[in-house]
Amino acid sequence: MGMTIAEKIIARAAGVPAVRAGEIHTVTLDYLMSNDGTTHLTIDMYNKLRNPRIADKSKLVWIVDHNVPCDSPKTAASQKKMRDFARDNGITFYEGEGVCHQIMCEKHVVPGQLIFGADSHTCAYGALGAFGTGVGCTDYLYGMVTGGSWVMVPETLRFNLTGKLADRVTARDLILTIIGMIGANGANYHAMEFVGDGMKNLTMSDRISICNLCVEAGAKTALMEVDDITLAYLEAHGGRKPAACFKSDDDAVFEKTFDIDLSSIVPVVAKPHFVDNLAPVDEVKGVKINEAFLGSCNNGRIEDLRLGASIIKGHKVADKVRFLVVPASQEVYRQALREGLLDIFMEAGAMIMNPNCSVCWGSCQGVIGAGEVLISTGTRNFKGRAGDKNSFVYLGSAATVAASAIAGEIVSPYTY
Amino acid sequence: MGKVFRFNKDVDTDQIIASQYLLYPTVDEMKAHTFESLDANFASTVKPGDYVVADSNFGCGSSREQAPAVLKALGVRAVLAPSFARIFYRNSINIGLPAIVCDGLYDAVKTGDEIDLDMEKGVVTFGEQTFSCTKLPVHLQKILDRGGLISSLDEM
Repeated sequence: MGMTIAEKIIARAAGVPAVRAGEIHTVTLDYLMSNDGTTHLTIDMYNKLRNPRIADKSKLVWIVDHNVPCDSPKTAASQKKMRDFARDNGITFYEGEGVCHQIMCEKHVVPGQLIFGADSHTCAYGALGAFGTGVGCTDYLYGMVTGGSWVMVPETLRFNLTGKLADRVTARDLILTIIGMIGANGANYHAMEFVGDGMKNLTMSDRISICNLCVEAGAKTALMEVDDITLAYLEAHGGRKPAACFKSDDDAVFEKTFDIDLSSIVPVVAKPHFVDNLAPVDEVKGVKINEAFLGSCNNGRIEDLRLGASIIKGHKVADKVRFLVVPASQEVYRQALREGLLDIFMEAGAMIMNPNCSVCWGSCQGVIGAGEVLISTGTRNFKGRAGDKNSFVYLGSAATVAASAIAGEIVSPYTY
Repeated sequence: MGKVFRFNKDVDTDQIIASQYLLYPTVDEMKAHTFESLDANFASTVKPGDYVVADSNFGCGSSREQAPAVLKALGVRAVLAPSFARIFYRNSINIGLPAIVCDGLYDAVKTGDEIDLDMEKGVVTFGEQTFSCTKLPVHLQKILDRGGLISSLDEM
């Protein structure tokens, strides 16, 4: 019996010839990523250990990205603890460089790896053919101290993609549609694998966007095969070489396979307060907005900024509406600067923020007040996610967000 | 016996503890804000030994370990639901907070009811009614028995 990509990566990490879904294996981790959301607590636990030690510091990557720049004295204390510990222990450290998953994709992850990240959206690394999964700080600490962990091998849901997305329909519309279809726990404990002829029509940015959001269906990880598009991305980002390139075997066991024609996908939004509360954008047309957000690890790449800028060029942001544009990394920010995209956004009246998690996590920038409505390319629309518990977050694509910022209400991305 | 605090399905970890409190230096400073958006009185009324009972997919969303940590810090004895989101479940066991899969209980109880959980037998008692719970896989029960994953690091 053959293996899925998820099984092959875990077998490699466990140092065994084969594994099967449902088994528990002890694995060696290739990377352990942690950000300022929880690292201060990890350090406190570390310092209480009887024999604190780091198995392999070269595997640790620490990234300050959630509250950047720092917003309060309490945050400052937590971030200082992280900064000092990284310095004292020689841990790879980034601050203000961008959202953690974007940094990991641009600089670190290679195909075939098994990676723990102390952040749920670590599943993004599947775009590069790596098994990324989110963990809490206790699991993180265990990995930091031992270099390994235990994992249960997940069953796989397979998505066979064909065709091509229509103009102004994005990979984000696709993955939101899939989450709406299978539900917020539709992939709980599972791997989601994306294959098919349609993959050749999806850029690396599209692929990261798809894999990144799979945790919103409960997935443990998301996975894609390595192809020329992946290899070209790795080459352009530091000439990185794969550790291993895996495809699922023909006789691998999938719990279920879904066939999706990309040309059938339409612009959608996820309505408050659940990511699977899906509607075609035309159904929510006319909902007044107070703020629009283009950014995040899901949708803050250069391709998203290009799409947003192409729509808002020559228009103005609606009166009394804030439009925050937040490149996902310094690389994206500088590229957008070179291409004149930031000028286009600023001419329209948008605010350009430094790379960070920003509005997506509702703690640092662009926080919304009671009764306010946000249209967002962020990852989540949970109650209170972007600020006050009585505010409302709609999730849409970069195109939908840009068009809505102009209109001052949710509109179709084809409006302008 | 402990009191029930009942929550609906798909309770995400942002609702258990919101983002703006996560970078507070310690869990003790965060815990007063537990479930703030759903039940502003929860943190001030919950007592050690009480239970959180919820519908399916409890703890979805962010991987923040602060979510089970604030519940444990407030003395919640166990969280009982028909299903849990993966990361919350793993985090709970890792820190020594029992996350127990239990069908039917959510529909039977309301906030304020008193229940009792026998972890060894895998049974919840509510008045005359009993509900069976799924026992943890051996690997996870071992972690829980040690009081969490970290204690095993001290044993190495």
